[in-house]
Amino acid sequence: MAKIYVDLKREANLSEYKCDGFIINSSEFSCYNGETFSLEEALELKELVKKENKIVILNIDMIISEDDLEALLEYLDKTYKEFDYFIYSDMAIRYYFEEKNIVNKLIYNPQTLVASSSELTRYYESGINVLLANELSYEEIEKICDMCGSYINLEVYGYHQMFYSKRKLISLYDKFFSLNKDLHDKELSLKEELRNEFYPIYESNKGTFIYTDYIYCLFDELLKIVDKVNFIKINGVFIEENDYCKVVSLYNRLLNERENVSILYEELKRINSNLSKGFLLNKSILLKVNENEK
Amino acid sequence: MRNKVELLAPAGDLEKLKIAIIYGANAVYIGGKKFSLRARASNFTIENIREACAFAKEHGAKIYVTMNIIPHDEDLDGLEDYLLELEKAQVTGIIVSSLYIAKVAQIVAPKLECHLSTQASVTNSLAIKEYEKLGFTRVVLARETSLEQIKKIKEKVNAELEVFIHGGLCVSYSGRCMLSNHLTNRDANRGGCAHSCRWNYDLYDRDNKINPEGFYFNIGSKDLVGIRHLFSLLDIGVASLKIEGRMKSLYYIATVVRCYKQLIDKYYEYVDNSVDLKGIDLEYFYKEIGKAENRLMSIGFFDGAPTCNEQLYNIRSETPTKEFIGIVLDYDEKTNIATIEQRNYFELNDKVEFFGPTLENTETTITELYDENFTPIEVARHPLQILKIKVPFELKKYDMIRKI
Ligand code: SF4
Repeated sequence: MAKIYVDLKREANLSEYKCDGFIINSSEFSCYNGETFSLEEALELKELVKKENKIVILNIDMIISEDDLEALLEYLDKTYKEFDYFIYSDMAIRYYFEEKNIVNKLIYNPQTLVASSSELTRYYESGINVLLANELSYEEIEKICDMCGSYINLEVYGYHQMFYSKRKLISLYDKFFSLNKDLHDKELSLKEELRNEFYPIYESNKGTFIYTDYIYCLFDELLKIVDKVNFIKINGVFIEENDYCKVVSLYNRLLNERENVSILYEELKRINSNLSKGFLLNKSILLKVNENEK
Repeated sequence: MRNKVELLAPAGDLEKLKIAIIYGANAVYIGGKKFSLRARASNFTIENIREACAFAKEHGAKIYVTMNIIPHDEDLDGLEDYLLELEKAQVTGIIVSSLYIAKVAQIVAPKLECHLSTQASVTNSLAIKEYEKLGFTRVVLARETSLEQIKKIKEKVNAELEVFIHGGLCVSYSGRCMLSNHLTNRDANRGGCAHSCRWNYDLYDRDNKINPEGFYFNIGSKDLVGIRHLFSLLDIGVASLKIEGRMKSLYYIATVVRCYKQLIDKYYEYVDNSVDLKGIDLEYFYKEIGKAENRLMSIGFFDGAPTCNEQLYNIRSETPTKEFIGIVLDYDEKTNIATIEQRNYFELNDKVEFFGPTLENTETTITELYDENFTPIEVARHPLQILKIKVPFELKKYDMIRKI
């Protein structure tokens, strides 16, 4: 049965969360734009999570520049023994864990880069867990589950990151037009001139991130594949703690208590109705050669 | 003997590939019909790739084939056969971001070098060491890497480093942008980028619009020009300098390749003779590039974090380029008549400039213009028409003509 991992929120009462593990998002090395925790806080929180007998995962998923390496290595030296798993996207982290011979602590989350069972195989052969790309159709997910089982991990709920730039795009704009607004570290939204949707955009010291205008939600379909999935992640970014805790509990009731799906889904919609199946029913297209286009 | 840098050019078809090599590229990267990004770049068949390799070999150049899609399962059909074909065609290497494709290549076509695509967004030496373990011999660095960082990385790794020197820039980390996919269902990682980062947006703080009245909020990046940073990259010892743009025109490729080739040659000439590089007039090269490039240019991350100057705000200041009007097919020294293929409208008495791989920019006026049968004409209005013109200096096949 798939385990449920959730982002740890600052105000969270750990025992209220019906989940198997908590993800602690690193202030220093994650590109999570909700609550993040410094190294000291992360180490303290880890103890609290352990007391609850839950799995504790450290998220360090930013892209690492050469200038960050020294600090990263110091950080890893202090954390690699302390946490059960590490979510990463930069290969420098894999290199470090391979040197220590503990790659089985790794969960690779490159957001977009693993979109096939063949690719996934390249990681699980080495014992590395992978979070699948978010832009897959249900058909594709099902097929990958059939082929790779037990190494599949899925983000099933939350705003999906669809853009990660190293540039401070909001501060640069602010400066260019001399707006003098303090827009850094603030949840803003973006609207394309011809479209009606509002996309959350956030600039942190890691860069600028744009998210889907909806909460991606894989719910009823999950039951069909849940036995082949290692863990599911419920993303807490931009979701209030109170609502988040309720969402987690609904997923727990779905997976572990097998309550009626339709009733649970109605409850889920009452928390936030802005749910979407994203690409689940809507395959992305491989756009290839049109001979006439020169 | 010092290893000289490789100038790596893009090509969307065979004609462009030949021009890139003739104009000074040491290597060309092309996309096959399968497994490559750039939907509208007219991708090469295996037959074309064979011809490309033969042409490259004749001219001492190399061919790399991009296979840089982020594959879904259905995209992988025929992978092994394709790799075998590439190896047989004597392609030098493939540019990939998928570890699966790299692994299959290493097994079935071990003669192909595996280069890691910029899609993997590598910006540090430890990541490169990991990719070295996975069999990659060259890494295309993320465009988010500064010169200083490139220098530090070079000191620590064995893999060759390839660095983008010129062309379009993704404003996001490559491979980490799903804007186009979400907004238009065109997946940038599968060849379909709709350039959504260059669209117009409004920025809101709750209900308050932040962008000033009459202006949009833009996030796109100006293109990259590496003229000013080229010598530092050569000092560092990167293996390859890459020009972006498999969808660019023949004229653009000729102009940009020629420009960087001349600069590289000057660098080696000056360094070998202990002459101060400051004596090289970089302005001339900016002007040259400007003749074929009308997009606003910037230095990307070369000097560190980009400033407002690197961003594309809604300012319409893209200048028109010099018009490319023809390509030389032949030149008769006895009659001083050049046979050319028309590429854009021009007239008798137009002032034009010729340039070529070895021909300096040379101006003249078209005083005699004939059709293919030597019938005098006054205007050249038909694309690809074969024409004859009198030119008082020697030309070679593949020299080009632009209007002044
Ligand atoms: S939308 Fe812009 S940033 Fe995104 S992939 Fe396309 S060019 Fe790159």
